[in-house]
Amino acid sequence: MLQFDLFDTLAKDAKIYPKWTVQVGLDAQEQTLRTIVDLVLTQQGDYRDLFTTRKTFLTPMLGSIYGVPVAQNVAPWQSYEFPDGDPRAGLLAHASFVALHSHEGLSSPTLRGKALRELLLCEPVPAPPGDVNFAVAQDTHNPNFKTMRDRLSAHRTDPTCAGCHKLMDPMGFALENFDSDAGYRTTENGQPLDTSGELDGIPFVDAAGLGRAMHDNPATGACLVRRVYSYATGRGAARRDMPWIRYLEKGFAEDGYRATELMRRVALSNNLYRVAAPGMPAAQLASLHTPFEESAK
Amino acid sequence: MNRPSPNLWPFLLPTLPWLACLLSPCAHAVQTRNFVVSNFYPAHYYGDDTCPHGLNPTPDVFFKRDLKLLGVPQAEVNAMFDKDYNNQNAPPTTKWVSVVAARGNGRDSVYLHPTTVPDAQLNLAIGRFAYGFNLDGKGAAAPNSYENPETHERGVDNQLFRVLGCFQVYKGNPAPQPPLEAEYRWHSSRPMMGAWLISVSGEDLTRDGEVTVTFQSSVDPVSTQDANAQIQRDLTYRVADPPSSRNVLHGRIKNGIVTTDPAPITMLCDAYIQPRFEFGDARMRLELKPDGSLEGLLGGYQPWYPIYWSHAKVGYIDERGFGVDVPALYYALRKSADAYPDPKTGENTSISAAYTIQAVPAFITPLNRREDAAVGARSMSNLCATIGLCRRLSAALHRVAEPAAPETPGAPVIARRLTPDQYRAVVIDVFGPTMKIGGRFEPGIRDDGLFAVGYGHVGVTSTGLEQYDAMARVIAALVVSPEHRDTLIPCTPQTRTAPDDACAAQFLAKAGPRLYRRPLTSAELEQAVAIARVTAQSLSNFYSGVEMSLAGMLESPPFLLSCHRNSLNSSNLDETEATFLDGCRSAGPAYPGQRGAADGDGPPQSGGPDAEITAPGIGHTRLLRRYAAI
Repeated sequence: MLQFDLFDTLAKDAKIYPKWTVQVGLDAQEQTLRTIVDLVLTQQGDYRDLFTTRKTFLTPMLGSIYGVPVAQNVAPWQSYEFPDGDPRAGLLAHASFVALHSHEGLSSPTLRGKALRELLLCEPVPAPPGDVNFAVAQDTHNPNFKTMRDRLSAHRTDPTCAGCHKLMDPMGFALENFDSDAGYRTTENGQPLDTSGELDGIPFVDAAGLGRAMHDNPATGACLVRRVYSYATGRGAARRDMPWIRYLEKGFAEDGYRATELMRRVALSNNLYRVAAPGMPAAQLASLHTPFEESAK
Repeated sequence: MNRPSPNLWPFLLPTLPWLACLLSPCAHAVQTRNFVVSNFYPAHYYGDDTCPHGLNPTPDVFFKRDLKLLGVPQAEVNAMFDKDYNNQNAPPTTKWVSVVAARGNGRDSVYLHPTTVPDAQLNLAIGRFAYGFNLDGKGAAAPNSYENPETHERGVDNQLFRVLGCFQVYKGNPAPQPPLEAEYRWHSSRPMMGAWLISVSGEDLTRDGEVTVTFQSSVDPVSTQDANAQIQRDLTYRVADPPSSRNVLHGRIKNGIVTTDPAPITMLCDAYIQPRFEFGDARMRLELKPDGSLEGLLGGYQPWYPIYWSHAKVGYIDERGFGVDVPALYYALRKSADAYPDPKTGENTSISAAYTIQAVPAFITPLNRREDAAVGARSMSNLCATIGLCRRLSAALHRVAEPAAPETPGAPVIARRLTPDQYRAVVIDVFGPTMKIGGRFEPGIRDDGLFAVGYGHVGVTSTGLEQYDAMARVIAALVVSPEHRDTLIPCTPQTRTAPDDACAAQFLAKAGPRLYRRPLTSAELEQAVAIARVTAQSLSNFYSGVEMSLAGMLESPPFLLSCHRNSLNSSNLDETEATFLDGCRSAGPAYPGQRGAADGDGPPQSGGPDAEITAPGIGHTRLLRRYAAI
């Protein structure tokens, strides 16, 4: 779900991001997992709070990346709470998200927005056409387009690109304060960053606002239901299971979005163990596998 | 004590805040920038005129020179030299090192008694330029003073540079590279000693004004490098109360350059370099650079003997490795010392010096504060766990009235290929961590965003099976190897050269269920024992039989694929398993031996006597053909 396997091939340009090392990549994954375990399992918290929580766990190396004090030689992992008003709220501000979904040498509102849509909201984004011209978007030295917002705006003048970028970029712009190595910045090429954006009609001005919008988005909880369902059954959501999935969504909300309760409901359900009778006609069997196309919302 | 007359107060008042800052963190400072020293070495300059008499001789020359003066026969010196000086990686065959170390009088160490060697008169750096400060205030009139090559300040006092500047290793690579020996020493000691921290505090560091510079020690070493092998920025360093070294200096910032007023500075260092750096009349000139780092000079008068001893204690290694003629250094330092005369002898005890300081941004925290916070967090975690338990109890009560989940029609059984992590975990769990898993796993695919779904759709290609086969053979061979068999095989065959069904069955009945993650059917066990028997007969080796049978298990579908099961309620295991296998047969990923895409013999097709459709795109599955053949 978090696609941490991509860390195996993640690289950063050491000339631009000297702080980023293999160890930072390992720490970044662990930070997110520890945050999830603490909030979701230990504290039995609301899953959606993962997108707004300021509490996390850091190593000295992550402290260096985030620009916050984390003492060395004390304990490998130390609890840390970002102060109110700090832009680093929620998982989306973790290095495991902003650095993983960036390019080697520059940030990417598009990759971040795409990951957010697909991984956390279960909303597929169409693949780009094969003949995309990235010349403008990747030219960080163009004096006319100093920020990624400027460059992507120019890129979106192509109507074939604009349709999909609308799904991704407005969310990704809110994370532009976080560079490709997850370091904090307020300008790009000397130009102040505009981190305003919107998610499904909810406007915000910064990453913390995006986190709140994610928290309140009905697709956020529904997506986790589908993920847990898929982990358990080994398949994507299929039409035959929709009543069950709706039941799980409703129960998830009634349980205060506690993921442990969701997992309990799935694991203890007879539906998980019910199999189609062997020898079912091919056509009927195939129809059971028809992917469920409806949005997770 | 005379109190200052009242009319002086207007002049003294502005200094009071700085006096307060000497005692505690300055209440007026609203902006502080903290740094950790990444590099510290004698400031060097090397121009065309720096060493008009050339560089100092290399060790091969000065060793032979001194031994000649001592009267050691040249042939004897040459013989020892050729054997040991030129061949340092072999055990010594002569007394070369001890002879050289006593080259003054043939008896005493020249490092403890440098005056046993005549003064070799080092070549001194007598050029026009050197870095440093006008320490004595005499300006250009001061004898042997220099001009700063960048600020062009005259009267720079840096006699340490005069002494060291014509050693090859202190000539330095072209700036800004540090001198080799000093760089080596600093980076050897840096991870072993408390970091040196510099804090610059002022009301607004972007404007000219007064500042406080705190130069102190951390309890944490500087040991972490970034991707470019430079010191990692923005790490956090703890400071004890009181720190082992702490110097609070008054200064000012102008155009981004911080200068401090003359004051003594003492910093503890590491025994390898110098246990302690002491400077009298010290001052700093530090530039806050646009990239956030800090670079500048620390200058002052240093006691010269500790400098000598920092070389002498390393002795032969310093001479041979870095080309520093230690006795000659002794004479040069002593002669060049230019301050703090001994009241009794009148001989100067200190030498003017300047060091380059490079530092990167860092955080500074008091010792223990974060540890306390961590302990507090653990307490909160326990409390939260308790709250979580209450919530679970509440939820359990709530579920009493919970409506039942709507029933689904069920779904075909899914068989998922083991992920590489799962494969390793199973093998290590069953046979221990000494198992080697060589070979490459076929990549998984994401479906619906998840490998958890994708591994139910991927197949095992012929190439992939070759890899599984190789891995299985290696693992099986290791299990029956003489090193492992006594531990992993719970019995000893009656004879090693013939089959032993009872022993083979005992092992396979133990390993099989753990590999398949389910009980073995009686047919499966019989078949595995039969393979061991036939192979042992053919090869006249019981263990080869077990090895072959085990390898077969390790590349069979029940091991490589994980099937979702409906239930195991049946009292008749074989009957239940047959139902399960029927499900797997109709649902698993493609597997070599099946007719279909995985064999590369055409696209997936529907129907056929040996194939059943599972889902669009999955293809034919007869995944148990190979299994049945075992």
